[in-house]
Amino acid sequence: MKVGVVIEAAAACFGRDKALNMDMHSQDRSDEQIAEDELIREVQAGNLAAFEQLIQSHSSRLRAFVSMRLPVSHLIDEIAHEAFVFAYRHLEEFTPGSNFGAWLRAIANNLVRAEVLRYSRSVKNQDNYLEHCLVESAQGQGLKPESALVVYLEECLGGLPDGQRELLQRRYELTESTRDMAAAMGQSEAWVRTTLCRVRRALRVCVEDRQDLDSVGAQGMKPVEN
Amino acid sequence: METDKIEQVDAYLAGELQQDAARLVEAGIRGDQVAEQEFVVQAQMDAALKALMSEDALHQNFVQGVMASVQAEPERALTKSVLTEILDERDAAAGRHQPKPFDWWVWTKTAAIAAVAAAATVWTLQSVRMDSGREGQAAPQPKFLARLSADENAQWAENSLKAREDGWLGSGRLDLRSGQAEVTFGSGARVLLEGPVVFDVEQMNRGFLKRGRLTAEVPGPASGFVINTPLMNVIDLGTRFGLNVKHNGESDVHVMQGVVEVSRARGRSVPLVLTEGLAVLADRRPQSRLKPVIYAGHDFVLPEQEASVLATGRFLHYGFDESGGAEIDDTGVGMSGGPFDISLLADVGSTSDAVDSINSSPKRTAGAVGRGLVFEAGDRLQANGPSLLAGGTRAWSVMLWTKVLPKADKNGGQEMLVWGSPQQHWRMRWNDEVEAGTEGALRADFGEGYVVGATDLRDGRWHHVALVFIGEEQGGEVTDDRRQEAGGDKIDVATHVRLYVDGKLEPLSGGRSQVVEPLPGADESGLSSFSLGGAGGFEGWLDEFYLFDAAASSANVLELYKMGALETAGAGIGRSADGFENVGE
Repeated sequence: MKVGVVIEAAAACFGRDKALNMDMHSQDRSDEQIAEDELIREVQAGNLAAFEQLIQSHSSRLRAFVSMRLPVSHLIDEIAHEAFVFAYRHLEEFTPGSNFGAWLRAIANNLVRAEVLRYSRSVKNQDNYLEHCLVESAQGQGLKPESALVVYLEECLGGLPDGQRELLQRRYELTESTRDMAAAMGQSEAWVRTTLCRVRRALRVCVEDRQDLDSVGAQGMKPVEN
Repeated sequence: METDKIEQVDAYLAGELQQDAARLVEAGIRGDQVAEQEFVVQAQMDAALKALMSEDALHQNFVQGVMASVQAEPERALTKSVLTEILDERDAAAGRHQPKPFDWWVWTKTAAIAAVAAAATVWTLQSVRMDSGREGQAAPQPKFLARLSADENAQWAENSLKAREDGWLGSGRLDLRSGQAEVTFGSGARVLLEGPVVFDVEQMNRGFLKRGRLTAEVPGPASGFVINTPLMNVIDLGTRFGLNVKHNGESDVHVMQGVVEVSRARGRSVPLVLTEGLAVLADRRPQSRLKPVIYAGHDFVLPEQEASVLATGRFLHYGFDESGGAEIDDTGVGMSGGPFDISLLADVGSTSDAVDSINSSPKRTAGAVGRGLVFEAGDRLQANGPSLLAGGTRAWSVMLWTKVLPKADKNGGQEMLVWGSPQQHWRMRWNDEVEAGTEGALRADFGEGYVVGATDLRDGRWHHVALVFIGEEQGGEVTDDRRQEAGGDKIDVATHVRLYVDGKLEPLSGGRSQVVEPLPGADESGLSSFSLGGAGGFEGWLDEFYLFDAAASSANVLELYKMGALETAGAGIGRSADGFENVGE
């Protein structure tokens, strides 16, 4: 994909202002980073409550990251949980000032790889074909675990039209049934289902475009995922 | 991808399809590369959006679950070391309840062993939790500590401890004149005795070899297994070793595999950690150290693979892997090799309204293995089953996976399972009475009696929990004399029930005696109701429910924990032809 096309696609997804001012993002995060470094030092000094704040800050994004790597529902929370516990056990090895979120993702990514290996060794798991497909996808998917995937997704969400965002809120925040959503929005259930699929597909394309944009090294466009 | 397939993918991801329809979606996608890729993309984005946008309560539950795990790490309950426990026991037996004068060597040795045991996270079975705040509370003593799992040409002395016809052993002295006998302890540790040998069964995880030879094989969960001799204490840290005691008490231990800690029973000997291929001797001179001797591990006979008591058994199984529907099928093995065909249905009282049925059904969700169920207050599933469900006084085992939120309290309901009649029933739940034992721990109730484990289940993570009921004596001609020889015939909930969490035998933190009587309607042909979600309700997750008509061994429980679920053809997980596949520990 050409760079110009990528920028247009990114702008279409999360708004031109955000696309062009992403270099501000890293500046904004510096205060958060300082506060986070302090929390990490507190945990290292034995303050367990500080670790709860770190989990609060990172759990949704870490679970979303694991979801995009290995979207098997019963494994997502398990792996994210294990990643936090592992991080706690090894926090002495972490240097405040480094990117804690990236460290967590690296831990989770290793756990995902281990889980995929374990899963593929178990013959009985082959019986659930769709789950098998999802695990297979973790081995050779287009999304790059080292990218700021979740930041991209959040940015892409922010750029959605109101109607599509409402659809997602009803499904994921309010956990409404398709029937209730259709009634509330004056549409058919078929419309709700197909639109949701299209929105998810569009978000995926948006995330991949952002990923590609980073890989061509666009100056000042790379967000720092915390 | 065609529009109708896209719609079906969304319905599948939203969990809005009945089981048959979900299978059709799977079949439609299978082999269609474009559809498979689209399904993967949709599933990835769906899961990620759920994680990012889900309600705050779910997020908080996750945070609390991690915190519960983290909090358990540095403050993991320290158990008394085996040696401390033995010293306490001996003091108690001798009526010495007052603290003894300070003995530097004893306490140095004790501290050293305790440190190694703690470092290796050895959970000494039958030990007292020091953080319970209820140290003085008497936990029930199990009646059966071990099982005579095999013998060959065994000739027993007249006064030897008698096993029940089905092999269960209480505490006492085994005097094997000749032949071989294998004893499997409650913890899962196994010893092969070679006659002539005199061996005491003392605890679920401890024995005393007075003289003769034995080989011990100790699986991981039984780590901390202890064999004492007149001159030596041997603490096994998950391994295999041989032990020989001469008539004068001199003892030599040979480590075939893993690690063993050895110390002299008396005198001033520093504990040694022995690894594979090493052997030491404790001689009669109390001041001497343990002496290295030539390794002779190859001279000891190894225990054979344990035969599974469940291999030919019947069992009920609910995997909860259906995509939808109000009925949950049994995929176990019944009378004729097929399932019992006892379906679980929502308990809607006297109405048969379909809407009520759906409203009182627990929701399907991610399980410990595949899909599972999440119960909210008022959710209940019920079925009527054959007599094995009622239990009566016959042996049974119940195993399932459960997840309880860290902040769960008794108002939310604790009863995972209830079965029997309204007047008299078994209950499987987590403990909500601090005075009864560890709060949040696995608990089994029958009438007024109960036993409570020691592991708080409320950490927001999946745990495999099992109740094993050693019922009345089975097999052979069971006369009154035989019952008396085998320790009497009272079957008590406090002494005949074992609790397991995550494949490990639970130490008991509390219990109350209650003789178990046959339940009404629990005869061979009768039916008895049982209910998932219990009478008092349950809030939490359940998955992979099994009920066997036999008392599972520790090896069986451990294996099912490791496997997650048996391989049952009906559930699409594939079950071996001979039932429970037993694997050596």
